[in-house]
Amino acid sequence: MATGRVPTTANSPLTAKGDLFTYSTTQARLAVGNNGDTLLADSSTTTGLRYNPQNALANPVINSGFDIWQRGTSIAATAAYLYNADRWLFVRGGFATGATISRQTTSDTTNLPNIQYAARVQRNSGNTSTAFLELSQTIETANSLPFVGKTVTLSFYARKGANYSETNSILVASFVYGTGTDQSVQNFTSLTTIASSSVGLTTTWQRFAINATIATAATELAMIFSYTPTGTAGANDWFEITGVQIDLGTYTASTAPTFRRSGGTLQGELAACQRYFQAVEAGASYGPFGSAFAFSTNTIMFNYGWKVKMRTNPTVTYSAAADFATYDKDAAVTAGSTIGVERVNAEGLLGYMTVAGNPYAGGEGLTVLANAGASAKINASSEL
Amino acid sequence: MYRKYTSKLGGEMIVRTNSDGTESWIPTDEANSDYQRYLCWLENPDAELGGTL
Repeated sequence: MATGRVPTTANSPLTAKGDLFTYSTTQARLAVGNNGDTLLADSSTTTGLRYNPQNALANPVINSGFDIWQRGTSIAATAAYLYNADRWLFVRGGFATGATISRQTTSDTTNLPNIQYAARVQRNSGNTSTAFLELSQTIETANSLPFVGKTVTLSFYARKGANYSETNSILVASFVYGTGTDQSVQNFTSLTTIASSSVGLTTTWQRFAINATIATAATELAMIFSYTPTGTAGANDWFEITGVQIDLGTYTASTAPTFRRSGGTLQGELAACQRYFQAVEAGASYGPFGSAFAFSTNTIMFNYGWKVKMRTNPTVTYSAAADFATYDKDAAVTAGSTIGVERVNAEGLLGYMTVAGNPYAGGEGLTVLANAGASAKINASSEL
Repeated sequence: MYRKYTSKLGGEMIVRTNSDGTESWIPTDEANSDYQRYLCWLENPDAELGGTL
């Protein structure tokens, strides 16, 4: 073996327990990391190696690849905080309207690998309001706490439209915390900024990374992406964003771990979203919801079990009562007149519906389905 | 905007009429954010502006 290739006491850089013998432009020592750290390849370091906290936690940002849009894939801004893609909340300054949030395909397998969809936050063409546009996601307390007191990296991909009107093509990314329990970011107790960065967008996808240490006082986390438009909106006054991810440890945009969904698979991501919101649709005419019985001659009771257990007892919103109908033993379809909720919890719903006339025999078994030509829908929301 | 519904099984639901005419049935559960907003609305009806949809 050639002289000098085997470390000896004389030529070794090793000085302490756990040291690794590495190389930069010469022999080099890499001190051991903290307990539990893992060794990471990182071309930005002198030796091409560094220790990093074990990044074993799931990405807490749910629907971070914008795969799931149970409320629809194009949502117009209203004078309210508005959920759009599952778990993502939009608001405009002063509750201005004139904006749309929509699902887009990323259409780039070079700069943005492995991610199919993005959210586009757009000021509508011709809109003259210069109120800011803001997209945020709040992480519930149980999923925030594992990151408290840790150094983390918030990473995401973003690009702008050709008419993006922010003066310097800036997108402001803010990472914030609160000290309450399971609040939405607009209601955070003691809202505090952990880190904020103004990133410069181009029309090509770029990845960005923000490093931060989360204070031990934090009990709930959120990230906010916003811009303030200028002038009158052109046809492409928008930014797109996807691949939002939080990892333990310090990374740059080029070294941040490969994007991964919070729920792993697409089905897992859907289930993660349904903890907060479920859109139950019967589909085509006469699509079934479930079984029912006649509580009286014109009132039925029906039940429905949620697809996954929800975060808390949800708010239930039906489409119009006439969208629903019963199907009885005489093969008659009877449209609903009124519809409501007798009981609801995180597991399911006991609903009631009244109909015109007195078509039922008491105790008669029935099926609840979508009325002819209707798209009956039940929304259940346990959002923060 | 809001009304109360008494269940045949006992207990109350809060029913909110939305701007599109639909109704949302809100359980009286303090962990439910719509119920939290209802309680805020009881204290200050103007606070409903900007509620979550």
